[in-house]
Amino acid sequence: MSIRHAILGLLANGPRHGYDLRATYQDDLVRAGKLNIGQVYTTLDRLERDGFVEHERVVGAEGRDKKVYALTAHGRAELDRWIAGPSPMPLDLRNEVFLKIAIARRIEGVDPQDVIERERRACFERLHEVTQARARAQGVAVEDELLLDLAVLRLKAFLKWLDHCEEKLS
Amino acid sequence: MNVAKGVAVEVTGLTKVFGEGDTRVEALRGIDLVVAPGEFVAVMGASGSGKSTLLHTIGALEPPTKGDVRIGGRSLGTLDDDALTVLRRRQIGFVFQAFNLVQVLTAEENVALPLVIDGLPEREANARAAEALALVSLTPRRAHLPGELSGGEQQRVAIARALVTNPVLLLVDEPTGNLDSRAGEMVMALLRSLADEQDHTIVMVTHDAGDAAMADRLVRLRDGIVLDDQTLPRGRAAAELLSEDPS
Amino acid sequence: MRLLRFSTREWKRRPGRTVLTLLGIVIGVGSFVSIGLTVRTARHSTRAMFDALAGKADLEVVAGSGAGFDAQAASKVARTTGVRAAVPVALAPVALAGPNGPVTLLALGIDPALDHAARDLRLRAGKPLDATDGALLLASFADSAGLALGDPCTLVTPAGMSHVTITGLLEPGGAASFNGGSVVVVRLARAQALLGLKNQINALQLVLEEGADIDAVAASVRAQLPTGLSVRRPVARAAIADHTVRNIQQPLDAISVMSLVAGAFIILNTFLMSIGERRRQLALLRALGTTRSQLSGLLLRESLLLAGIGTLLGVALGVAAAHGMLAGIEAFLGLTLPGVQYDAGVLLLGLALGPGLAALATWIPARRAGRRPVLEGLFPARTAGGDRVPRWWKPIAAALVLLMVAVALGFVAGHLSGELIAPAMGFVLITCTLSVPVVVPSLLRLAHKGLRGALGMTGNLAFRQLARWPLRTSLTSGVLALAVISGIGMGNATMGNVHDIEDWYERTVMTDYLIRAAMPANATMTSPSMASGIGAEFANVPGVERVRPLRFLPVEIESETAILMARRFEPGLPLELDLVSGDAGGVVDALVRGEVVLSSVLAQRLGRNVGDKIALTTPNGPVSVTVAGLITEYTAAGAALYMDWKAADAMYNMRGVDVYLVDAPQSTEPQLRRLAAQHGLMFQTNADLRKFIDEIISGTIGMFWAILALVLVVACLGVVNTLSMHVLEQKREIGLLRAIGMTRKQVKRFVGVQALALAAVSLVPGALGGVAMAYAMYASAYAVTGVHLDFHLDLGLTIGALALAALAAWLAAWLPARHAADTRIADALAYE
Repeated sequence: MSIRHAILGLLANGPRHGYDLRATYQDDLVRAGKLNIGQVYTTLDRLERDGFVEHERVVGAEGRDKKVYALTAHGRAELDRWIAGPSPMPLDLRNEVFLKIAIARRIEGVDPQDVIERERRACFERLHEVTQARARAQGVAVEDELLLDLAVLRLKAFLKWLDHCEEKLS
Repeated sequence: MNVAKGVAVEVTGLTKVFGEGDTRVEALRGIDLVVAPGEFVAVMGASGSGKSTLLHTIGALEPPTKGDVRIGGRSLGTLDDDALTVLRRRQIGFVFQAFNLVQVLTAEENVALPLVIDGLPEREANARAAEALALVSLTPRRAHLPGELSGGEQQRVAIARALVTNPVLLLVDEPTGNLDSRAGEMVMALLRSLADEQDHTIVMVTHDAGDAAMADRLVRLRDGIVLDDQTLPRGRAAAELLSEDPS
Repeated sequence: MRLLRFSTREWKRRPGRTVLTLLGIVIGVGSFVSIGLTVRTARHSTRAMFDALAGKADLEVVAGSGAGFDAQAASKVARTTGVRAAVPVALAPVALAGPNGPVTLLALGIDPALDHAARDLRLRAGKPLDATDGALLLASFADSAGLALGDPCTLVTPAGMSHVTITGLLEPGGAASFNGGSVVVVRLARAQALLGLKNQINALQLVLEEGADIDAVAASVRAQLPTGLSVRRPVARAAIADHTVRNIQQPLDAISVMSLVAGAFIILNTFLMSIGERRRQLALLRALGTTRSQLSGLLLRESLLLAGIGTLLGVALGVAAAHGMLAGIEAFLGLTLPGVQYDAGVLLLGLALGPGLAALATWIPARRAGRRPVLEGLFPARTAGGDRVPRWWKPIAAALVLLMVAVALGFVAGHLSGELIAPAMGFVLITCTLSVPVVVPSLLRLAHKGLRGALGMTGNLAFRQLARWPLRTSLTSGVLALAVISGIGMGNATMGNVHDIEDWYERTVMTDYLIRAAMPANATMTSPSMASGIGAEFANVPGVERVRPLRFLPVEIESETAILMARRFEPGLPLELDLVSGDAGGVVDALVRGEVVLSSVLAQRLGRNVGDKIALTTPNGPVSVTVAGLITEYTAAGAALYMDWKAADAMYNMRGVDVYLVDAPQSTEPQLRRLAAQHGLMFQTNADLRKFIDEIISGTIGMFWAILALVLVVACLGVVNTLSMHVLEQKREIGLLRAIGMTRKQVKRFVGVQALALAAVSLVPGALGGVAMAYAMYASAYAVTGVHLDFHLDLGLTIGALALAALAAWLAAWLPARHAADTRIADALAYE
């Protein structure tokens, strides 16, 4: 996930300072991802070095001066390029459940079907959690709904995959 | 009735065989199941697992070959057809995959139907039907014929019809099978809220994992026997899930 | 895979629907064929009866009105060119004193040496008349009279009593069928002796050479005959009997037409339904690339195949039913009918009816199915389902109604002849039935409103289901309406007749006692005579006020054949006639002067009125007499006239008396009875005669009810068919209703209410059409026969017929209702 482009995107509607950027990123965009302020400034420095952003010092309400960053024309072009281009689709085949099943097959006296069954139960519990939350949540932002949907569909897909495993290994 | 306390449905040793000889099919092979009042149970299984037969047998639409079904403490085996019919009418509400609304009746009349069959005066039945329709947020569509409603709306009318008699048990068969995902979600959310807010006891048959996950308890069937019976934990809030650390 | 295999698989998949469709055709074709064959056979049998008597004879020489003449006088006729043989016969009614009481028989005297040229008498047992001087009886008749071969029997004739031994039993057919089988064949000499004819005969039957010109031969024979003798075709004798049979034929014709229309509607409806039900499947075939013409062709072939099977079954059923109905008519009329006449016209029309209507009923919806957008059929959930009455229906129905009014006016004004009455009735039936779909939606709404309170939710649901299928509903209630129309129309006509007959005999049958040899035969109105001297013996019984002779004599008046009733009329006594025109006192004087009184029917046929003259053919040549008055008369179906005894005797030289009318106090009854018994005669009191007439009337009423029942049965089968289709189609809905708590009883009620709703819709057009039909029959009866009837609508009967139709529909719902109630709910819910 490109933090660089997230910051470029957050600056598209006007100049902001570092703390502000971090708060918006964490609370609205990627709630499941933690971002420390150091990471924010390192990223901003690099973006400035590449000519995508520029800053000016402003004296805040408490008397301390802050750096307020703004998007350059070059930065805007980079943001547009990113949005218009396709994202890489990582297959991400390093899966722990798969690993368990594969190991179980290799060990005498361990039934991979038991692994699958336990995983399925766990998966159902997760799915239950998400769907319940999804159904009960009142006034959730659309973006949050979309994320929950993503979770539901992934879990359902994973359950289906477990069914396949069970069938193929029996 | 003491026996009934804490038990809405009790299924013991339920066996159902169709046909004879070469065409003999054992749809259910000894099912035991107890559903507590207010519980929302999903019965899951592939087609041919016997899940629909289980629902029909619990709903007194099919007599069991062996075993017994008790609803609210009453054993179905001891009842004759008329008594079973009255039981279906007053204690059970059905929701079907294909909605099964009467095409010539308006939404409100469809909902009022079970009450009218029960002999309630039409005016009173219509008043209660209007309440039930309000519960499924279809008051503005009350005078429409089923043909003029969307699939999701039709299924919500069907749910209102199942609720109108204030039944002990709701039996739901693939409620989202004929619906698009958005309408399906609405129907599932409605069922969830019925369990949460109205303490309805629901037994729902489905092959959709997402729908099944809506329930409090998941019973998985395979080849006519219970494969797994899993009580699902009380869920967490959406915010908590959204900020959950991936690691 | 051939497309037709698709059809056969479809039939197997839906056996219920296939059977119902088949049943529709079987009912339609079967009822048409059975009734058609019955009517043809009944009609044929009356012809055959007289043809049988005449045998192979093409002409016969007779004296005036059946009187005897010297065989020598006509002997030279035998040598006329073109005549192959001249066969003398003596023929007269006689009474047979059998173990079961006196019976009227027709005595046929033949010359065994000559007779084979004219007729074949096939013996089942015994010896022919060449060998013994005995009597031959029809085997079945002998059986029913309790007589066997070798038994002696007594024949009573004007010449007295004669004893004869039964020496032969005849096979049915040929001469043995004459007079409904009530015939006794004896040697000519014995017949002459029995009938007091001395050496005279009363007919000389002429068998012509092959290919001879009948009219030419008749002309040259006529030229040679002495005065008093005439030559005619034997069939002319059938005329009187024809009138009697026509009374039965008219209702039979009516049901024949009605069955054709009902059958057509049932077949049409069935096919419309079964195609309507398969919309989705047909749409699928279209989606897979079946062209419209392929689809129409497939459906057409399928219908024709099914219709072919149904038609064959229907014809077989119709033939079987015709046998049953003829047996019923035989029992009712006391006739022995010849076997069923396999009339080619009826059978061919029956064979064409099924496939023809099936093709028609398939072609229209098949074309529509082809034109319908494919998607609409594939997703029926999006459309409400149901059918609709085609747009062209309304103007056609309106045109037909206008035409019907014109036809009705034509009959009333007398522009249209009576021959057209049966087709006209058919036209009225078709029009009424076809106009049902136009009014059905409004009638449904009306009936719905009217019955809402009474029927509640089930009624509400039933009515809306029906309203979804206006076409099917109309066609079914059309068949029911047909039953109601026939019931009310024929019922009122029959009952009107009955009332009139009751009025008539109240006014005319006034004598205290009647003495006769036997009751007249039903079919020919002939009865045996008694010797003239017997009357005096009755008159001599102390206390007897008056004995008057009465004679029924078949006579010819110009072109018509009629029964002449000769009786003594005296000024100062009641007229005992139901006078329509003329004054009572004047009429008696005129009768005594030698004038005649005509029945209004005969006057109408002859085109005469009071004061006009008519020409009677007598043994002494034509005689012209004045008409003194017109009466209502039912004897011989109205082909009757009255004459004073003396005048008649002078004209016809009457031998024998048919009935003695005795006016006497009750105290003389035992003595009169004894006297009658001594002479082997029948003794009837006034009450006995009334009872006899009442029995005939109740027989007529019984026949009417039987016909109405038949019509209702056909209509009911139509209702069963439609409701069964409804139940099949509503299987899913019924499953749902059961699931959400409808008991079996409530489901049955639900189906029953649909039947009632069908009936309710059919009642209004049925009642209107029925009253119109009753009026048409009344009006045409006057125009055709001249019978003066008062038109009165029997309210009880009209309402009764309506109630009966509703009840019948309700009963017809029983089977489909049971089927609906017993449906397995889980299966029904999964039914597409």
